[in-house]
Amino acid sequence: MRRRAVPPPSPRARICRLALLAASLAAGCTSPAAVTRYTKSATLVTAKLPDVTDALSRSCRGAASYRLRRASNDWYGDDSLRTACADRESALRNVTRAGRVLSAYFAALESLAENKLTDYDAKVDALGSAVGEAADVDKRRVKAIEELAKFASSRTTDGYRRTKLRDAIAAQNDNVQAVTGALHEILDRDLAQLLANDVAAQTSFYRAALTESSRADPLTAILVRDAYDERAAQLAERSAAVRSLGQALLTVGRGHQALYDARNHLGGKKLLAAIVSNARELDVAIARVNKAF
Amino acid sequence: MPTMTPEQSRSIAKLYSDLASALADYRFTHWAELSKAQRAEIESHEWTLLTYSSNMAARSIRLAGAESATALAGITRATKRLTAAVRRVASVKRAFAIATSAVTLGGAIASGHALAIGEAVSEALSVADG
Repeated sequence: MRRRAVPPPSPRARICRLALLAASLAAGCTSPAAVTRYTKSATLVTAKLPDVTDALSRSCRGAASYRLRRASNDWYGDDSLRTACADRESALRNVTRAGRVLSAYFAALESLAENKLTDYDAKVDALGSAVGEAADVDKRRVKAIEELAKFASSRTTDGYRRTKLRDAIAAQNDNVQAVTGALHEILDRDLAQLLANDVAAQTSFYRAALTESSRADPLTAILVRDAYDERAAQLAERSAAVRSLGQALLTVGRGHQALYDARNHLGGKKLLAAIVSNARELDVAIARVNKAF
Repeated sequence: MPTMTPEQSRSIAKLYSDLASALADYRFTHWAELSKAQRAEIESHEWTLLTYSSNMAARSIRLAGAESATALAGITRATKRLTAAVRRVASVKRAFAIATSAVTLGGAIASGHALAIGEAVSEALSVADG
């Protein structure tokens, strides 16, 4: 069978092919293994925030119950504990929301890196607005959260999504630094202070109970002391883990900064090595947090 | 309306936590000298101070008015002086006065009224130095 001769391409077709080749090469040059590796580790960090805030809420209710039990022998319901912890829970909700916005941003980056269509998520956009409505987050940080949420919730439909990766990293770097920095401060100082107060409440409760009754019932006192030691150890482990998670958020920020600094060479080996090292640091922190929460 | 910065509320949260711990130390150190009712009253003040500290850490309490920076300096000075006073106090009566003054100051901060804060700061300084 004789092959039919292929007609030479027209000048217009040649230009189209060259344009396609150039676009493919551009996408290939930004082979984003570093971005994918980064987003996977960063997502593991932000995914721990709800566990930590849930534990802090429970810890508050525990401390409130100590207070009520010391004040009276009357029965108290869960409502009393929730009322006592309303301020803390409201503040913690902002932490969870900011974490969810970061997670959504990392998911959007990952989709771009894998050249997938990103889904519009109105819930994420609403999260940004919800944080904005909360008065106790300063304006610059609220704006950063809103901008990240807007980016994460937007639909990207054009053909060369990977070429958008560099622009996204460049546009959102300041926001990522602002939000990870804010979450680090909140974990390292505010949540650490809340846990320190819960430790003080627990110590006061057990110490008073033991001082009042250990002579009358020394065997029970031994069991109560054991229970206290166990709970105190758990709170100490959680305090250390909260600080580790705070440090991990700074590491997440540093990783994004590395992507930003190398945004024109996202496929480079040097960047991949830096991100792998960044991810190893995060793995250690996540293991510690997983153990405590 | 200007509000406290996170740094300012963190600072007060720490001061109130320290003050609650100092009162707890006083209660346990002087356990035998205190009546049951006195211990219960001091303990109640400790719980209130811890709650104020936690509320501050949650940054849900705000100062009202433009005087917040001045008010903060007063709050810091008064709270540190109260903490130092409770650490060296021997008389039960003075311990109560210090605890009550600290709780009043915390309540004023929670109310956010600059005038009430100013009065509570003056009162606290006077009690601490008394």
